[in-house]
Amino acid sequence: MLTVSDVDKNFDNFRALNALNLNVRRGSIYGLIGTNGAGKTTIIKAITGVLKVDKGQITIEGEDVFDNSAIKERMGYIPDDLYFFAGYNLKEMARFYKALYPKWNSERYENMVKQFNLDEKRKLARFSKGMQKQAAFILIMTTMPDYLILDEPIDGLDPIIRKLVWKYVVEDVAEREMTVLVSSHNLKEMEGICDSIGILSKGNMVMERDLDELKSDIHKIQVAYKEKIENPYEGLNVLHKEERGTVDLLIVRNRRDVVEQIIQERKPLLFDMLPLTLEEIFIYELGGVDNEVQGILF
Amino acid sequence: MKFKASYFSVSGTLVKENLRRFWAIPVIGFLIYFLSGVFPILMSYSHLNDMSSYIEMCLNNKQPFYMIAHLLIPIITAVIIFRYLQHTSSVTAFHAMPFTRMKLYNSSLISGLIMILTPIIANGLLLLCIAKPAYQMWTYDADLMSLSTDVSGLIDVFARADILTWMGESIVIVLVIYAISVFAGMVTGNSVMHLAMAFGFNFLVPALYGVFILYCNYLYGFDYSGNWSETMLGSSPYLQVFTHGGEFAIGLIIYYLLNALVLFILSAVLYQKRKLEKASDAFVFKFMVPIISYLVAFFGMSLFGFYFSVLGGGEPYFYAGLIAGAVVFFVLGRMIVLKTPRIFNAKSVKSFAVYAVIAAVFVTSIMCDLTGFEDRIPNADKVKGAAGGKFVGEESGTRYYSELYLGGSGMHLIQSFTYTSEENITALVQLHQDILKNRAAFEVYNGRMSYLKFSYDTGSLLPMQRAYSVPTTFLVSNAQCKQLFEGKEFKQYYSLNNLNYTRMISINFNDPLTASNTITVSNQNELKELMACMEQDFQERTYEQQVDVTHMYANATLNYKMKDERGKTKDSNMYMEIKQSDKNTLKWLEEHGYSEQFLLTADQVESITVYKYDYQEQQNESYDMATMDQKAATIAESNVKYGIEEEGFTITDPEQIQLILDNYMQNATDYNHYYYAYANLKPGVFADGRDGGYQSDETMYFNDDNLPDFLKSVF
Amino acid sequence: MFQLDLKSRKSIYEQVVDNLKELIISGVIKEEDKLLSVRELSKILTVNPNTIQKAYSELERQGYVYSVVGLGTFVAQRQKIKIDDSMLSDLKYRMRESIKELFYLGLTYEDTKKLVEALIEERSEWEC
Repeated sequence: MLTVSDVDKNFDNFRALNALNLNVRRGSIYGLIGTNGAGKTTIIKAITGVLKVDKGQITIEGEDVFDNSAIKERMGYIPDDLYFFAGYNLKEMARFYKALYPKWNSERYENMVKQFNLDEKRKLARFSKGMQKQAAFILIMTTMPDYLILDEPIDGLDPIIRKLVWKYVVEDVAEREMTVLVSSHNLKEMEGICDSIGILSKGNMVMERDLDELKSDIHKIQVAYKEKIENPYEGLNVLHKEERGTVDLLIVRNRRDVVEQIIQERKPLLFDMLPLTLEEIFIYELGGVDNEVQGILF
Repeated sequence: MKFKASYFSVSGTLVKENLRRFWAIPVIGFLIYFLSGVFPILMSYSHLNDMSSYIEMCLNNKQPFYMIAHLLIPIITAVIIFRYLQHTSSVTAFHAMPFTRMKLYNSSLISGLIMILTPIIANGLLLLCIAKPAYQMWTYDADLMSLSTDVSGLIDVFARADILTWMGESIVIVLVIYAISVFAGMVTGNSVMHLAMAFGFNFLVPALYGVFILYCNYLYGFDYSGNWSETMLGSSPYLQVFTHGGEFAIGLIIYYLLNALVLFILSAVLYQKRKLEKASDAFVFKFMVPIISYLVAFFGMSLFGFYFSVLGGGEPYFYAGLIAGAVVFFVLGRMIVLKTPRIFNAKSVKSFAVYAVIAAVFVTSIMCDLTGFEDRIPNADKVKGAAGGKFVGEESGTRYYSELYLGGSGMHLIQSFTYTSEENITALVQLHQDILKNRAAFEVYNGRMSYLKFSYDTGSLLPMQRAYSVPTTFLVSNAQCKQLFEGKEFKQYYSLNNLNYTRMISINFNDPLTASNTITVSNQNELKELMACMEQDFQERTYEQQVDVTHMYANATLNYKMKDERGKTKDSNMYMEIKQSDKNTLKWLEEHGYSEQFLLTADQVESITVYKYDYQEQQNESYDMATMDQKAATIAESNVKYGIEEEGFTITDPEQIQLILDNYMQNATDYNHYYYAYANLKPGVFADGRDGGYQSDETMYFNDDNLPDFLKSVF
Repeated sequence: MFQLDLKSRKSIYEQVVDNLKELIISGVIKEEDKLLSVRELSKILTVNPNTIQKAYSELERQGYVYSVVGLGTFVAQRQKIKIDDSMLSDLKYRMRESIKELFYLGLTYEDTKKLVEALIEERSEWEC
């Protein structure tokens, strides 16, 4: 269990994190999404013990993460900005990591190197960015972390490799109950892999839900009635409404059955209901209601 | 903070990995020491005595490659080892790894220590292995600059003790430099700044002292040598070596090591507090911003101030320079520290205002002597001991170097001969007071001056030190000086019986005009007699006789054996003058037939050419040139410029020659107006086989008073 | 076993549930057959195991499967399936839509009725 409670973080006069709360259950895959500059990398660096927070607490299994080398032995972090020792190749980095992490699994290392088809004797500086990410992934996964933190991990990887990466992640989550925190802008992929979502904006946690619950709570509907009805949407939590001729387009925060019940009562001519994709939810929650956003949604 | 054992935790893995990554540095360091030290020694191994001075230079850390390595290797090591703190990607990666911050710091620190110490220790061990005696014919003593020709006093400069001393000293030096460089890394945010600050901090204290002393020179009586320069250079072991070279005193070693330790601990604290997100900023801690901008402003302000005052000449220029420099360099410093040219805001103005106030207080307190420095005279009753000049006039040589005598010690920078009797101290204080009374006149005096130093031991930590330029004429006729010279204390201390020697080997004499005719007295009985004569003459000499401007009768060099502080027997010597008034010595030399062997007489002189130099006349001539025609003007101008005085007057008459030989001075008394002469000697006069009429080695001087009458009409 | 449509708006969880139900209903997986473990299925599909776990739990809630601790999850006998009101209304909605479309296509009321009855006949061998 990873808990961030009431965390503030300032960079000089800029408040990067504001009373932030974040919870990741053991064995879940948590997707951290947010606009650029929302504070995703900041909170991740705080979680991995790189940054010190100004207020609040970050704990893993009840223990404070800062300066806690015991916890860090069980944590694997792949940052957005990779770093390897100058002039080192994968094999040499592996040797270093092996001495550093007690749970290093040499067999897995061999397998992964083969599967990703990387030349472990080649200098890492000469790898393409994508291959460097793969190398970092191999190194981190071989340490058999209990907590895996990924900051924009899959950007720049081809689809085959992406699938391979998620395969390993899912396997460890399934086998060892590994806990994963992923930050990414690729919401489609997040949607497919995460079970919980946290939406970050301006240092605040706007929404943190189980992904399925998140999706089941909000729908977009197209309705048309034969005659005009007074207050046709009474009883619904209408977040957004737009009239396009005789058809109404709405976004309502209600469960599917509730919506159905209320709309069907009034016997509509046309009634279409769709769940929102994560991308749409993101844009809606964070984009604000204005013309451009509407265009995207509908 | 609880004191945990974890403060000392180190990751062996990380240390090993660092060594693996950066092995090149200790290898390069080793090579530098090796190729400039062990290698040349091995090359000359069969004839090591030829290398003895080089070996001594190496082991005293005066060899340039050693010194360069001592400075560069610790700095570069610190920069490279802590480079990971200076980039976002590396600082993130390292701190996400399973280390506590202390472990990271300790491991990096120790990796660096291993890297800087290994080359020195390795070379030291190699030197120990190949150490075999290498003898110096000459003992080069930096303080005395004495050379000995006595072969029996050989010194082995390649002894095991010397090598171990070198190792110890070098280790202390690199430790301090490394500690400072690590500290620099803790407060800076990128490697460029780290490197710059590592160099800067290493020389900051001496530099600050240096600039401070420049300001203090505005104070009448400020003595920049002595206490100030000792402290300034002593603060950095690197610079200490330049001035002293040789061993550090135990106290100094402990001071340096404590320094290093404190810096290591301070760096650890700062590392804990460091905001890692500031990597790539110039400075990581806010408190560095004013410190660095103020330092830059201070140095810049001083630079402009002194530069302008030299250009323009005078205080208004000085102040203008200070103000201009303060503004310009404050802006510059702030831009560098904040890494942006956009510093023109209220905050900067406030910061500058604070600096301006501090600078103004500093400058005014010096320029207006708010501490009462200039007029302070110690209370004669409270003074335990005072060292002043030796009031020995222009006597050349090492006769009055206090460390040559028993009871003297240390460097002659700090005068160790001290007056302790009440009347002498009173005299010194009186002299000091008189100088201050005449300050106005002395400051504008244009003639020949003597530099006089005072040092009072009042029981406080540091002695009160002053130094003044005083007209020579004032000193020569001063009653206090007379007393201080003729008083018992001086005569007792500088008695020849008090000279620190175990056995007198020989005394050489030569005429002051030509050093090549030297005669040597080496018979032990004769030496005893001679010494007795010289001693008696000294004891009976009056102050007036001491400061008489007439040339000396002879140069005397005393060669003797002595025991140094370590108890080793060394060769040494002392140069002194035999004065015209030393009648006992003169009589002895004549009676024993030595005088005629070295004294220059008229019959050895072919001719003497006398010239006149007058500053005022030269200036007048250059005015006249404006009225001359072009060609004539150029010739006259070049004549004046290169001092070609065509109006030299040549004398060949033996009587006149003798007159000149009897009355000349060794130095001019008035730089702006004097007469000078060369003696052209007959062939065969020089014992070193020069033939032909060569000029005497030294110049003869006259002023209006002692110029022989027959010449007065000429000029 | 079955494919997931990642482009679909339907959540993965729903798809897994629906797909498994389809397999069970159509008899591809028979009664008392053991389903793949959560771990295995998640690895094969590269899907979050929690999602699979949730799907299995939902299927169990609806009565399609039951789980035995330590042994796994098994297809339940058909009788155990409960009628879920929300599911029912969901299906009703879907059927309503399909029927609406049939009218839209141009089928008469009578044709539509015949069609629907014929479809039901196809499953006549199924017993409730």
